[in-house]
Amino acid sequence: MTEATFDACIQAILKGDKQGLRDIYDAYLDYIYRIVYGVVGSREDAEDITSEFFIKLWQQADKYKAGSGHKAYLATIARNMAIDHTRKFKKEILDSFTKEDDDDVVIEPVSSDNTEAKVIEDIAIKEAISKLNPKEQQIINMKVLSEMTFQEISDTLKCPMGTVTWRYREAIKKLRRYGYYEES
Amino acid sequence: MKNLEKEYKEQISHEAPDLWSRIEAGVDAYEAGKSTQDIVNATAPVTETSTDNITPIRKKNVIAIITRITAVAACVLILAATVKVTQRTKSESAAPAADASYSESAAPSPSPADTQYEDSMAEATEPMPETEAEDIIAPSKDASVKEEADKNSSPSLSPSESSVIKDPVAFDDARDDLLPALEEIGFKLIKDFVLEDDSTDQALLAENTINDDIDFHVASFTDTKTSDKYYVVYTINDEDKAEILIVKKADNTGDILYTNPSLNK
Repeated sequence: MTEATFDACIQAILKGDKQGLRDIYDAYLDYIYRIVYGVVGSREDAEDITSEFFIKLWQQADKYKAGSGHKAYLATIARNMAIDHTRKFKKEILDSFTKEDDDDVVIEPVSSDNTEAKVIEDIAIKEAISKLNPKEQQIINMKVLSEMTFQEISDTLKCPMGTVTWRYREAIKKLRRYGYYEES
Repeated sequence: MKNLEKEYKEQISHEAPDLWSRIEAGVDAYEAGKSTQDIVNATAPVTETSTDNITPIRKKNVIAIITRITAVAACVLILAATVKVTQRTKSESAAPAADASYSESAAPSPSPADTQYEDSMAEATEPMPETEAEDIIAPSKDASVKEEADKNSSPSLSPSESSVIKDPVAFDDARDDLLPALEEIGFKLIKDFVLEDDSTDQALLAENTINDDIDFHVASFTDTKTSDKYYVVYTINDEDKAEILIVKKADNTGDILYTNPSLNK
């Protein structure tokens, strides 16, 4: 969706025309859902928050400034809603990052030799992700699905950025063993 | 090798369910609530304004009523206190004056009883001013009553017909006979007038006008038209009937309007 199209949809919303919202929904439902899911990590919560997101967009359409990059605008709102939700209802997820337990200290070593680089199992992406520990899953979700920077992840999880990047690298190494590589 | 980002994003995006019905319902609910809020907002200023206005007005009304009632009550109290003080002052000043007049005209060395009697007679025989006579209570046009009053040497009672006592009164026992007793001496009172014992004036009258041997009572009544108050000193005779001894005006003149002839004896 172009900026002009999005602006037209916002204008329609401001006039009370639900088709404007419907067009945005059709264009960005997957995108928003993915971003939200990346933060909350739960299908049910992601559905709830995504629904709330579009309702909120309808309610606060007048706050959108035309030409300010609507996709980033939508992503920021969705991400913030998901983070707020997590802080309110999924506090244990965030707490697990601030609390340094044994899992944080003793990390399963991943060899970097050629043997380890070989694909040991061809599995679906979701199954591969599930092989990661929860903290790695969280960071991968935020980085890949929610397209958050390491700094944003660090701020959200209140975890040092070094730890975040290190965990991310370890998660990527694990995923390689299942045939998934990082684009960059 | 598979692209992690691409595969993962596509996988999650495909899982996104159709949420439009939920979203539309939420939007409709919001709009409905907004409409309701608009209605509330549209009416709220009126309601608030009217409430804001009404409340102070009601408060003002209540305050005004209370103020008026208080003012009226204060006026009544002041009036009552003034009347009381005036009566007391009059009574106190009347006694020395009577004594002085007595010293000028009375025979030398009279007995105390005679002195009291002479005082009362002197007051009783004083001519009444014409204007005051018109204000006197309960006129009687009945000729026979007038003649009887003249025969009893009562003062010039000429109460006007227009002056009628209308205040209610509760008679009890022998005092029920006070009304006919008053009519008998020329006061035509209809059966509504204030009748109340007044111990202060009772003592005053006893000191100045009444023989200690007489078992008397004092009642007061008020002319509702002129607001003049009168004292009636009466006794209960052997036949258990009220017998008027003195009728005295309870104003600053203290004029005695009637004295029972028996007191002359």
